[in-house]
Amino acid sequence: MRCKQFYDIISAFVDSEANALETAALQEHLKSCEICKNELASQYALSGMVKDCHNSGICNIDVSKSVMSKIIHKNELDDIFEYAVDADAVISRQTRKFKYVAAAFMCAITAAAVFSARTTNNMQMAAAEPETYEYTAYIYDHLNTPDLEYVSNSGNLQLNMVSFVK
Amino acid sequence: MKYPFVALLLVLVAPLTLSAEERIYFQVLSGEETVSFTNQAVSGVHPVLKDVALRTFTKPFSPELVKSDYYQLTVNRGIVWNGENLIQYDYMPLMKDRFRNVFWFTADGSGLVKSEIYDNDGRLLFSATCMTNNMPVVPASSFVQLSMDESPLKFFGFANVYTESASDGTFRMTFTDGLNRFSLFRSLVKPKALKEQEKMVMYGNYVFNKIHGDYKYTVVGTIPYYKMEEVVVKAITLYDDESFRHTVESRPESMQTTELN
Repeated sequence: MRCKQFYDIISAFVDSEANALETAALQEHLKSCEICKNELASQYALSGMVKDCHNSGICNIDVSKSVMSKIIHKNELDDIFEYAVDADAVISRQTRKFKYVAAAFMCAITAAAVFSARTTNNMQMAAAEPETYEYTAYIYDHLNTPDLEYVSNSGNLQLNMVSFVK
Repeated sequence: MKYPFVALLLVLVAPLTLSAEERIYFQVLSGEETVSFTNQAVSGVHPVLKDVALRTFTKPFSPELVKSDYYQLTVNRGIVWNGENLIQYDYMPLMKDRFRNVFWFTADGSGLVKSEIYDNDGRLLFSATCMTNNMPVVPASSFVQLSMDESPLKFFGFANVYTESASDGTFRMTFTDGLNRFSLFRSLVKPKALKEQEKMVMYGNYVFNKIHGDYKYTVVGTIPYYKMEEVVVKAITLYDDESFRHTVESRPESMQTTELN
């Protein structure tokens, strides 16, 4: 057995809970192991202090530092956690704000693209007008003949025909 | 958070998609670009283009006036569009001397749903589709029928249906074969320098222009350029004949009977 395996036996021995075989093995091991001897002594000392506290009602074991250090550590962790939560909230708000801005930007881009396409179409035709004004008038006249007037004046359709001003 | 965004999207999209009565979707070749628009477009489309498109789509049509000498008619049935049974009339020119016209009618022949015009290169010059109510089919008027039967001036199966002398000296004649149309304009050359000969596509129509002396001859319509040039050459020949010119310019409504085929 190695020393670690004897620690459980030592603890049981100190509490008078070790059986005969474990006791014999421990005694044989203690003959050549200083480490386990020290461990046994420590266990005895601790057991003695606890018994004294129990018996006298007064404990001389000061664990305040250990406890307080743990409380402070916990508080620090809580602060860090709260900071992280706040940071998450900030990031979440910022993300939402970014999403709003991105959505508004996309809508603006779409509207601009639609407007631009219509404007470009009109501008192209306007640019062509000075040179092709005469041909435009000819095409208009080409389809403004008596045989077609029958259509423009008949039916119930609102075709919104326009008059071309030369 | 979602609802304001959706509302904004609807505001942008709604004007493009809201339906109304008599919505017609046009595609018209002008130059090298095909312009697409509806008859209800309020901006972005030249008003003359809209007018030309509507008149092209609604021009009278009578199958009996379309001569089989010049077209091969193919009738296709069993076409279903928007849940409606349609009949397709495909007029293919036999001699490539005019353009192909395709019509889609309702099964009873009373409504025109769609029409297309293709040039001899297969380019779509004009297309109109009724998105809501179908266009009632308007038969060719008696005026047109009379012109087709008794026209004094004929070009390769086309009959003269209108002649006009304008106050600025422009003289014009319009011809139809019951399906395709073209108009010849003769006007004084403007002071600004012009090309001697010019060809282009405008508002779904071919345009051919040639200067001869002090006059400019322009042909617009749905026939190929080489036929437009033939029309101009014949017109120039006619106008070189002083007696013909005198007759035409003084009494445009009464023409000499002249066969020019």
